[in-house]
Amino acid sequence: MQIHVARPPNQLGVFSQEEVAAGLQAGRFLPTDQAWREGMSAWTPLSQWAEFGGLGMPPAPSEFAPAATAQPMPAWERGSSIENYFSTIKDVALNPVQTFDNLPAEGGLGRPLLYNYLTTFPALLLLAGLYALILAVMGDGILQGMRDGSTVPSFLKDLSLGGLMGLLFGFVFCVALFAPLALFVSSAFTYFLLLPWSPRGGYAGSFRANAYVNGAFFPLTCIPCLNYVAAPWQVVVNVIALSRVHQIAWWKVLISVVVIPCCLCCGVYAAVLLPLLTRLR
Amino acid sequence: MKIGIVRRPAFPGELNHEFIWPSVFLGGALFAWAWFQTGWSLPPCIFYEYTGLPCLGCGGTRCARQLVHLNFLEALKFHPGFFIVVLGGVLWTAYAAIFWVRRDTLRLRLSVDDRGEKILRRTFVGVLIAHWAWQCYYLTR
Repeated sequence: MQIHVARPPNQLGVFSQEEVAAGLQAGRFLPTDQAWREGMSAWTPLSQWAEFGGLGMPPAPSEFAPAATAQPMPAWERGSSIENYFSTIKDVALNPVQTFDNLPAEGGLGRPLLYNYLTTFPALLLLAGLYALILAVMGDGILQGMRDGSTVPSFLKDLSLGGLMGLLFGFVFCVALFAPLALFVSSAFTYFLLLPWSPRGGYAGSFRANAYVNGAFFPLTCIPCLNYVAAPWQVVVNVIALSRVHQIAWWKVLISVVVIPCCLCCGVYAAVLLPLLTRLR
Repeated sequence: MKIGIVRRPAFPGELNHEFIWPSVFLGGALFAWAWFQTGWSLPPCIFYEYTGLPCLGCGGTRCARQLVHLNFLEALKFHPGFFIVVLGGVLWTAYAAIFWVRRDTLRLRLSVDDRGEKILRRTFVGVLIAHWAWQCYYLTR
């Protein structure tokens, strides 16, 4: 009979009993790995399986034992290096549950803020550079299209090519100027919205989670086409991160940081931005 | 080699796929609907502008527009991959709704061994290449 083995939050695969026994002896599987086979009502650690009892496994650590061997995650928390820089993107995007379970509660705001900067601005500059290149090559066609477009605001129709490039880099400069402020404010807003659920830990937890999630996803959301996948996944990861860091049920986090802000944003859009955009046109 | 579907309980710490993907799907559908309502268009595809060939995402918006108007055949032709993703999203959302209504404890999951995973990966790459060939034919006619 096939045995399903998982090391939360990942499933390791389906194996025969012999493969699991060999894997346990070789160290491929851990006694703490969860296993299940058809007919069982719940997953059980391999250490509790009678079939693998005689393999000389060390006893599984207690659930409440301090996680002394757990490495801090994401990788950037272990030190600043190129390898950790890219590993953090992988940790946050592909393994959010384990990453934010192992995010140290203490550690200050500087490290995540630095990481956020180091991912956001190279990506923004590259993106601006790419669009500047496109403007340089096809600028006249784009400007003509903007002048002919009925949905383009009137102030954009009068722009020259230089003006458009200036607008592009001005936007990047403004983002560079206001990004840390926006991160502090948005994290405060997030923490404020989570307060009704009695979050564990303080504002720093929200800030650290938001900084790593935004930092890891920003370069991905700058890549054309990939952004359609990365942006919705970022929302999911953000909910997971805050849920794990503050130990709140995911649906409560979802209500606080997705549903309520969406309703507020839609209200602001309908009441302020829509009339403004209509007037600009 | 084993590739199949199994009904099993969730392991501790497993992502709640019965919640996440229907939410992403419904949220995405709502966003797409709102986007089409504004009348705005997407920026031109850089890959297409430079090479004259469609990128892997080209045709997705046209597929979505056809889906909104319930022109399923046209939608399939514009971007088969996007069409299948949407179809998968609909089916998974329907399954998740039944799962929640029945308060089931067993969840549908793909059960794949090492060899099966390798074959699935190769098949995926092959399908992606075939898909791009179709896009190059259909979108540049």
